[in-house]
Amino acid sequence: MATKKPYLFAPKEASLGALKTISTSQFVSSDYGTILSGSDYAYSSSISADFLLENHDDSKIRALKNTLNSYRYLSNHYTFSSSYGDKSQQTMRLVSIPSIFYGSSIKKGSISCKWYVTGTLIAELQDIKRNGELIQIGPSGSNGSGSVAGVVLYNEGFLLLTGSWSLHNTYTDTFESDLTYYPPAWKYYMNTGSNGDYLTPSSSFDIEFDGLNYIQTLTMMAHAEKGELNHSNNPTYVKYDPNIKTTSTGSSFLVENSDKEIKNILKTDYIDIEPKFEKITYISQIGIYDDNKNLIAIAKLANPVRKRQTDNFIFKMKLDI
Amino acid sequence: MKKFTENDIFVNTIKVYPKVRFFIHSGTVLFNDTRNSGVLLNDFLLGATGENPSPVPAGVIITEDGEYLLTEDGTFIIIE
Repeated sequence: MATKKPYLFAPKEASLGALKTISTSQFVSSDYGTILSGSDYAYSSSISADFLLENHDDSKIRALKNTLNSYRYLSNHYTFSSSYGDKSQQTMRLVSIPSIFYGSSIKKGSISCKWYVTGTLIAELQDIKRNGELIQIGPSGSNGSGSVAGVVLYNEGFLLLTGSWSLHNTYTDTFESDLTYYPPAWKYYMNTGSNGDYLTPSSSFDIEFDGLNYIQTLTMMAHAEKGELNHSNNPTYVKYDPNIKTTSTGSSFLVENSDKEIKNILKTDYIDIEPKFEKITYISQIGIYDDNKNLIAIAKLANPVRKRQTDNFIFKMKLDI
Repeated sequence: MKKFTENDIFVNTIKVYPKVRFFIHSGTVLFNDTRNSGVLLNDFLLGATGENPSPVPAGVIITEDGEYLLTEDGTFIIIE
């Protein structure tokens, strides 16, 4: 089965604009109007973590400078360059979470970052003050407990971890590319390596948070008033009698037999006494019509609802839009 | 003051908090306790992140509406 994904394309025009991936010779040899296609659009989204060494002056961090400074009113730890350090120079871990995972923003105060060494929790970060500071909350008595290890950008989906204190007394691993053994620290968070030399299989990491998403909903009410909707055209609504023909048909007509008796389905505890007749229906689905009486949707009930003539129901239907 | 009538339609916005969990070990990332072999996009959008989102069959594309669309020679077929 051939699968087509959306891809980049641009026709060769007089403006001579071309996609970067098209070679000059291919562009020159193509006729005007030829559609030159590029690579497929990315169809996936992933969490990523960048390790930035000291004096990195990384463009990703520089791009966040104004954003970080705009949250200074919440905490001084957001400040790009302050007594807490210069973020363009500090060794840090930048965790990027695409918005597809959380929606409008990450819920403030919901984030929790855990670091396990051979299955034992060695440290946990939470934003207990709900101001974006990631504070080490445990385990109790752990080194650095109560210290701020970094900040989180809730609206943008970034974690900046700069904490450099040792989180374990004995465990060390190759968290940096120089293959030297370092003790675990928050700046190495989410470091699992990408090949045999750099793998750190003793460490595992857990990030949990709540997203925040707004969903438009449409609510409709359907009314089943007393004495209404107590008749049905369903064949089982009438009593079965083999001696009475259900319908009469001819070349140009079909007539329902009016002598058919409506079945009495009223519940009774006695087998020898016929209960008093009552028209009862079971409502199983609700049709939704537009202004021109076109059926546009059907809502089905999980269990049909018994409707006696004395019952008065309102069905509430909610739809995500 | 608006008096509601029987046939009024109400349009509201509800706020949801979908839970998200990433577990990372030895170069593998588990999303919501499931190794990510394809997750419906609208599982997130609707805040209905399941414990075991069903994997996407090979050759099937998922749109942003969460529909499964099968493409063959550019023809889109909706499968249920």
